[in-house]
Order: sequence, then C-alpha cells, then structure tokens
Amino acid sequence: MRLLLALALSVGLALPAAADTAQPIDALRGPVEQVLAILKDPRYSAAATKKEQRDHLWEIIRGVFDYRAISARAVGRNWRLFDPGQQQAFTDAFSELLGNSYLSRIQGAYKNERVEFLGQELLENGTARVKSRIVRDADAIAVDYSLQREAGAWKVYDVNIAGVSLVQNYRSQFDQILGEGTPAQLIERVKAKNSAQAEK
Amino acid sequence: MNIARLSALLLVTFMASAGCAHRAAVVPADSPGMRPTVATVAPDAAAAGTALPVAGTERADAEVDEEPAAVEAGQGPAAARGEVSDPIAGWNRAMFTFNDRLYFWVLKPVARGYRAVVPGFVRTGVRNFFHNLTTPGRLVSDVVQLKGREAGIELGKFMINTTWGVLGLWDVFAANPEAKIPEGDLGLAMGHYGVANGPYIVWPFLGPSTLRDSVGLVGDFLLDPTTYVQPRTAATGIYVYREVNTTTFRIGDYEAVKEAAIDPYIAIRQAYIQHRARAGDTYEPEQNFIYP
Repeated sequence: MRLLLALALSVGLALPAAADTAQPIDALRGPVEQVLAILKDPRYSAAATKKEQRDHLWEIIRGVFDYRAISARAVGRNWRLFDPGQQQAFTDAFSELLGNSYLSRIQGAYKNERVEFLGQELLENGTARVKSRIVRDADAIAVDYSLQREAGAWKVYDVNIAGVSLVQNYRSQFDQILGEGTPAQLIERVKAKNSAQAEK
Repeated sequence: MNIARLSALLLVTFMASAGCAHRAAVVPADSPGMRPTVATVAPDAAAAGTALPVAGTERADAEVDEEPAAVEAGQGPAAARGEVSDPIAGWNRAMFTFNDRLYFWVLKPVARGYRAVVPGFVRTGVRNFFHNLTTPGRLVSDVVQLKGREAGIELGKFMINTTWGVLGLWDVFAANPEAKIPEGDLGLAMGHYGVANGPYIVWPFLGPSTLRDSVGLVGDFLLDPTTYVQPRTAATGIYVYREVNTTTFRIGDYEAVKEAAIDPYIAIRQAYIQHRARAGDTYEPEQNFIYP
C-alpha cells in the first residue's frame, strides 16, 4: 500500500514537468471527442445500457474538472466558514449533484451535435480560457471553459455558456442559503437534492 | 429572452456535449458579437501557470478571493458579484410558482399533444412565420441603437423571407452565418443607453423580467402586429398558439434546470440577469417565453 502511494506520488511529481508543454485546449479536446463517441456509440442505444454508458461518461469527465475548485468558487467568500471536513463533504455532494444533473441531460438530449474548438487564451493570472461551440444544424451555442493548473494538468473550474457562468449561477443560490443558514445546512440541502434525484 | 434558452445554457455545460443546442443562444463563427479573443498561445504565460500554488485549502481560499469567473465574463461589477435587486421577492416567488404550475399542468401537456400530431417542419414553419412577423421590434431596437448593419440585415431578411420564404414560413437565411446577428429588443436598446435593470420582476405567464425589460416588453408588444388582430380573443389565441408551438422545441429544458438547481428561483433569476447582460452581443433565435 505504502509502495503504491509512493509510486503514485512520484508519478504525480514527475507529471507536471512533462505537462508544462500541454495546452489547455488539449485537456478538453480529447475528452470531448471521447464523450461524443460514447454518445454516438450504437452499443448504448438500448435503455438497459444507459447506466453503463453513464459510468463510462463519468469516468472520462471526472478527470477534466477540478471539483474542489468548482466547489470553492461556487461557494465563494463563504468557503472559509467551512471546516476542512465540511469542504470535503460539500465537494463530494456538489460533484454528485453536477454529475447527476448533467449526465442524464447529456444522455437524454444528444442529437448528433458537433463540438468545434475555436481557440484558447492564456491569461496573465495563470488561468486559461478555451472557447468552443456546439453546433446543431445552423445554430451554435458558445461554450467557454475556464481552466487552471492543478498538479501540472489543466483542469476546468468553470463553464460559461452564452454569458451564464455555471459557478456564478450556483454561487448566487449558495449565497442566499448561507445568508440564512450554516454550511452544514447547505451540505444537507445538496445531499437531500441528490437523494431526491436518486429516487427518480 | 426565454427561459428555455437559459436552461439550455445551464444544461449543456459539462462536456460541451449536446443538450438542447437549438434552444440556446447562438453565436455564429464570425459574429461581431463574439468577444475578440482566441488563439493567442503565449508560451511564457503557460509556464507562468505552473507557478500557481497547488494543493490544500490555502489554494482554495486564494482562488475564492479572486472572484474570477464573473469579472472575466465581462459583467458589470454588480452583476459580477451576482447581486440582483429583488425587493419584491415574495411576489416574484409566488409568480414563479404560478408559472411553474402553469408549465407542468397546462403548457407542457398541451405542447406534447400538439407535438405528437404536428410534424416538425410545420412547427418550424410556424416558428419562422411568427419570428418574421416580429421583425418590427428588432428593427426598431437596431435603429434606436444606430446599428445600421443589423438593421439592414433585419430588413433584408424580412423582405426576402416574406416573399421568397412565403410569408416567412421558410427562413431563407437559416443556413447563412452572415445573417445571424444579435437580435435586439427594446429592453436591450435601453440597456445600450445605460438604463439599468432595476428590480427583478417575475410576471405571471410572461416569466422573468426586470423593470427596464418590462417597459421594453410593452414597446415590443406594441410593435408586434399580432397585437392588433381583432377581436381581442383572436389575438390572445394567436399568442397562446405561438407559445405552445415554441414550447414544443424546448420541452425538457426547464425541467433540467430545475433538476440541477438547489434553489430554482435563484438559479433562473441569476441566469436571466447574466444572460441579458450579454444578450445584445449574441444571436438568439427566439425572444419569447411564457413559463418561469
């Protein structure tokens, strides 16, 4: 066990150097193509295979997002009110909520849209923007990803769709809840939402 | 501005997968509205990225202080902090609930039944027809903002679609990216001249708005030819029919927003404000909504 951990650590430390040359756009391109391939895969057309497809999708997108950063930003300045255990509990619950909500939507609504990557922008504060659009017929939705480096790899910490930021949208909800309640109550609400979704 | 589009925004997210592309705001490849950016790869900036502190709560705290996403998204400072003036939240929440019920109990079942019997090309034709008919509102918005190019395109589309497109049933420019321009309304035109949103207001039937956008809606309503159909009941019937037809293209979007939100009322309010702040920059095919 300890050996494995040491190995994992050394690999983890070795990676950043290699990843320095990696471009943020590449951190998205590959996974997005994989996701589209899975969505198109006729193997998953039967209703019985949806769970399997979902697990497969989840495996791919798990590595693309920095859930802790997304959680911290979605909570905003109130993040300090959370003790380390609460931060972890919130991150877990919130990741589950995001995964559940969006994976089922993606699975249900995909209709052969294309994803085009328009380019990337590296900002002075060390973060990056990757611009893409989802194209269906003659229409397109602008989707911008915000990325930052996490252990040497580019990870997404926000998604902005036609001006609406995922993180900011949740922050406005969490601000309201934390204005009237405690971090523990917020975590409970997110968990309750997850259980409600699971029952469906 | 419709909620379905907002839903789409919220939904499609993650994998940039697919969601409901037809409902969301649309940015053509070479739209002038698209922020000038992209494809600037600075190697030293990439290297600078490695200097970011990693791991632990310190990093989490540090990144929270930046309040980054919103500011970078180009919103005003108030919008960047996610602040929305909502002095009549009690009324708004009640109307939100009313619209929610209206959607689930009436509009959605009706739209489903209608969709089951009316083929897609007919529904698209109906949508195109009404969109063409509401050209005056968009044209006035462009003219008021002195947007000559957009006004010209609106007028050109109207003339071609009304004739070649058989009263607008066929959108001749559907596949033409040049013709996809940001679609204005009077609320956005006022915003262009610095009129602030004012308080957030949820109207029964009409959905989310603000004081400014409500004034705009009155103007848009007066510029909509169907407003003047006589008798009044016929005009109302047309309006309802149009909403049902539009709804068929977006069933499921609102449900998904609700599903993803902890507080759907706040989620929609925030999305409305943020989206309107950028709406003048991006092409949006539909400007109507009826539910929450």
